[in-house]
Amino acid sequence: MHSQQDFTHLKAYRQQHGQTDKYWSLLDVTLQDRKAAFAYVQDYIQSQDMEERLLAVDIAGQLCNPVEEHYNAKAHKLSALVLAAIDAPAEDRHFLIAALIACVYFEASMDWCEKIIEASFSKDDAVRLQAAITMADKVDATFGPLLTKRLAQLSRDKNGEIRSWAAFGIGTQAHIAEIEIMSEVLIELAKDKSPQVRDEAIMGLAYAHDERGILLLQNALKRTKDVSLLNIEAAGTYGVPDFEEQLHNISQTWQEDALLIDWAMRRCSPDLKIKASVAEEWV
Amino acid sequence: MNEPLFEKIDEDFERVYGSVPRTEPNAASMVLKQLATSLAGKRFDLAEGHLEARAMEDDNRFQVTLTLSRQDPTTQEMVEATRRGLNEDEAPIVEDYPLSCKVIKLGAGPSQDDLSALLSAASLAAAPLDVNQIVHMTFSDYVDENGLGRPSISIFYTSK
Repeated sequence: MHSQQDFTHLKAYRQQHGQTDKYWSLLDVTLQDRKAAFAYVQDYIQSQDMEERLLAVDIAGQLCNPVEEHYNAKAHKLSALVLAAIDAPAEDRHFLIAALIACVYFEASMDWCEKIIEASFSKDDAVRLQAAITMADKVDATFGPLLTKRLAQLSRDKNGEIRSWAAFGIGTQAHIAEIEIMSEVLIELAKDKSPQVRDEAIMGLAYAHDERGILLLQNALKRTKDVSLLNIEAAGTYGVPDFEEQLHNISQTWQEDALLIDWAMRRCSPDLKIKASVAEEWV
Repeated sequence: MNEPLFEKIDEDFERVYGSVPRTEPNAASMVLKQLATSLAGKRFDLAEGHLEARAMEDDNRFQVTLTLSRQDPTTQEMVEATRRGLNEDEAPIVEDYPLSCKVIKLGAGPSQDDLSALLSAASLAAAPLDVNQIVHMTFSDYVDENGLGRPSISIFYTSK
């Protein structure tokens, strides 16, 4: 399950590109002083030096992340700087990807949508993937319908990882878009050749409480040995007795998250008191 | 795959967002991008201010509006506040008022002559602007729900 506050992809990106100790030191020092950080972004967003530009967008993203202690009230100015800078080095994929990562934390706007959607048409798989991640992570009542339509288009992408993120985004945002149409897309994705995509699609159907997903999930749970965490979470999200027996059988050999399967079993218990003893959503 | 479903999604997407990918920017976007590039090396003769160019484009008409605004003196406080890196809620709120406005109506598409006319009009209000004076510049080629291009550039600048 992808978390919206998950920095894993950001950290992975940094490691992939081997940023230096100097980079990390400068990042840490800068983020201790929000004013200095804001000034740094302004100064270095258009730097000729790649490392400085990457650091500038990283800092902008972190300053705009409301869950970070560094959150800066000038978030919209920072996001405008990054969005404006995306145009300049269009051929610079590392910078574009870093900027798209930062955009996860920016407030959605028409400008924001334009940049992300345009990137989602890139021929470069890595750029298209990051655009899909950024759209999937953005739950926004105003622009959600537009973003989910684009994600629905990306659900036919040749790249399985992109289809997986599209399924995740549609699943988490279907409630603010056209839920009936998006559920149909999820049904299509539940037939995907990639198990990861199918699992995300079934999870989305569970979020949407679409009963057609119940049979699909029962089939997925028959795998017993390689049932995914997402499958267990989906069963708990449905919270119907249809899964009780399968979950019980799986729990006998389950080596993964014990709390998750315990939550799912309680959610699917026909005993309403037991069911009521756990939260509706797995956190 | 459920082709009718995805055809509907494609149609809906284009209706809401416009035709994408826009490998060829629309005419209004193209002009404003060139205008922004041109203005980046010029200096306005106002002490402080804000130039905004907007373009509208429909089936048979192309219109560009240039608006120059000079902000009231308290703008200086806002600029200083920005420089000092104060929080948003600490910066004074000020209103722009228009200093001059030029509307240029062009033909169906911007020819080189049209573009020259536009840039000449811009230069009437603009003197060389040092790139270091630009505080903030944004560009948008927003397409509204009717598929009409309404792009704009905003250049915020300060005196030396």
